[in-house]
Amino acid sequence: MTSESNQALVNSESGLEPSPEFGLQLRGLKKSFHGVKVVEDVNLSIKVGEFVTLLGPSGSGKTTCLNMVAGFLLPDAGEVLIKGRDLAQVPPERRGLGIVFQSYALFPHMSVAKNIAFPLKRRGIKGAELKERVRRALVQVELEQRAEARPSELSGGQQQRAALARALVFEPSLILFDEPLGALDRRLREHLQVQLREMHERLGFTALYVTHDQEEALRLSDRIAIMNEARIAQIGACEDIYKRPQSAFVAKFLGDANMLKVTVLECAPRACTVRIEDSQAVMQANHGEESRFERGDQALLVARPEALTVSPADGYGDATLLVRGELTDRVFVGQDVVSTVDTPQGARISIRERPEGAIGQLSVGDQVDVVWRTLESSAVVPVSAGDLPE
Amino acid sequence: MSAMTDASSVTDLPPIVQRTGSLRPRPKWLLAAPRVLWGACIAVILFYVALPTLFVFPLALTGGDVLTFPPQSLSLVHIQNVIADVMWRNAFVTSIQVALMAALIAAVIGTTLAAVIPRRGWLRVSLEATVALPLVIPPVVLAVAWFGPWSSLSLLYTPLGVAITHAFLGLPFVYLNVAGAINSLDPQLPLAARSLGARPAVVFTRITLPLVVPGIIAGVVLTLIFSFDELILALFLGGGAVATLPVSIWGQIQYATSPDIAAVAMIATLLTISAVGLALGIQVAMRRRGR
Repeated sequence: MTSESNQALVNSESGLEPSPEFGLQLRGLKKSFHGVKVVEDVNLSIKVGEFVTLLGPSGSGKTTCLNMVAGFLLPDAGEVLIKGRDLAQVPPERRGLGIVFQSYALFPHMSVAKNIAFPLKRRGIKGAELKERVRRALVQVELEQRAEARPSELSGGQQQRAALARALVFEPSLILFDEPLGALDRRLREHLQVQLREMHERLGFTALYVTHDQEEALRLSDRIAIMNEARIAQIGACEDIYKRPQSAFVAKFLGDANMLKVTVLECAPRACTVRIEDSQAVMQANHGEESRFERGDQALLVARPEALTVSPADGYGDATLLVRGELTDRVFVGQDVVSTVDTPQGARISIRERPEGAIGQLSVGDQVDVVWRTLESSAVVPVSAGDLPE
Repeated sequence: MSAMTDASSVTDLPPIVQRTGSLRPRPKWLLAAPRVLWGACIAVILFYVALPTLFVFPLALTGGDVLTFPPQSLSLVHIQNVIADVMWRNAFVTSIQVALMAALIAAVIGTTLAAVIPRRGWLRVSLEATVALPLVIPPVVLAVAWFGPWSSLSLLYTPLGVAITHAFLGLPFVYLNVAGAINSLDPQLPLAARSLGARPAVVFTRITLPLVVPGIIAGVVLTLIFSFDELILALFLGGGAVATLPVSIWGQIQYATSPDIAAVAMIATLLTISAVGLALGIQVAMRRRGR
């Protein structure tokens, strides 16, 4: 499934022509503040009804992108299109987008019902219809009991739901979310993520969601665009990005990753044969659509902790060997055991597996083999100095 | 495993806590001393601030015909005198008129300025300095400066002329209060309103303005009070034609120090205090209703 969707994705990203089938298109978007490039050549096409998340560390430019879509900021270059229509000349109040803000931005001097009625009144809706639509919106977010309450009288989760109802009530085709769950505790956040997902499926709006929380992005999104230093580092379905990161940054940012130096022996699209420097083991690993390496290139191999297992030295076939080393740490974390293996060459590998395997019989100080349990989430990425986060 | 030896070595150590004496119980009076001193300081300051104002009351309520302290007898005769006197009644009406006009002008201009000035940058700094300028220039200088233009605009010796000058001096009160209120607003509120379909003008009237009303009230009350007791500008630019309360008191005190004047002062004080009380009440009520 991944191969087809990946192919479709590449086509849709390269086919950036304005088209009404896209709920939102960003084309060559650029913005700098006082000479600092905050957004640099961002291209993104979101299909009608799709849920796409901009995921990145703070300062990566994701909120600036959102503000340009909303019309709060004008791009230095590039276009924002909704259903193929350029929004350059359209002020925020005429863009017809729903926005859920991080601070919720509920109007403190109005009741919940008045807050929800606000966008409807601006559209000339009044009387019985206004009442009915506000009531329906309140029911949708289970706030009908708190209709007359002020925002300050609501809990964080209720405020969040009121803000969502206000953004949904005028049935915008596109909704922007600016870290809307950031201020809530974990349990409530997960509950609201489920609600949001359900609502998206039921109402079918197009969503652009901004967050720095990778788990939230994975839970909610159809596709994720990972941003780093003003650019989109990679766009794709969650699983695709996780299994086939195209850079060390993406590999590190989405999930945990061990990085090992390798030499490329042979490279074709989607698969590379590499030799691992520390162990001289030769293996085949996943790679992106285009072959980006020549024979002899230095590269990095991404090995997810949960794709590895530890076995006693020489106790396992060479075909799946990653490295040999000394078991230096072993910690039980709930149902899994996380172990650390140091290679003689100085690399440190983290492995996460069930305690039932060989790891149960091993003790700290033992010489061990780190072997692949599954090769599905191995990936080769280029070495680049700025890519490796500390 | 070595818990026993550890424990014994701890008991061998000198008992630091007991020796320093910092935890030794102190007498109660010593513990209370700082609080008592602090309370006394506040009481002295409050007394010093309030005392001159309080002196007005016994002076006004005397039964005698001269300003004496302490008063020989208590009576409302001077209050009655003032209320019966057309000159004093007119002075009150004129003062209230001028103060209301000044407060209205200051409220409109101050709020508009606070709303349109950018949140930061050199423009804001220079504009704020300009707005606050009348506060540091001696009123006499201002009065002389305004005399010329007011004369050619036929505003000299009119209540409106005095009110406009008072409004200029009240402007910083309104501007600073409203700008403070706007700055403390969540900057995402106007953006949210825009995204929901409100034009900038609607954002101002429906969102910003209602939320900064407490700031406007504070500025208006300060302007009212300022205008109500302002003498120099009223004297120079209003002359005899705009006989505000301070102007009339000043005129009267030139040739007679009757307890009537103390009675006028007492009524003015009560008016001012009730205006402040009303404003505080409105603000508290709004805050309870709003955020």
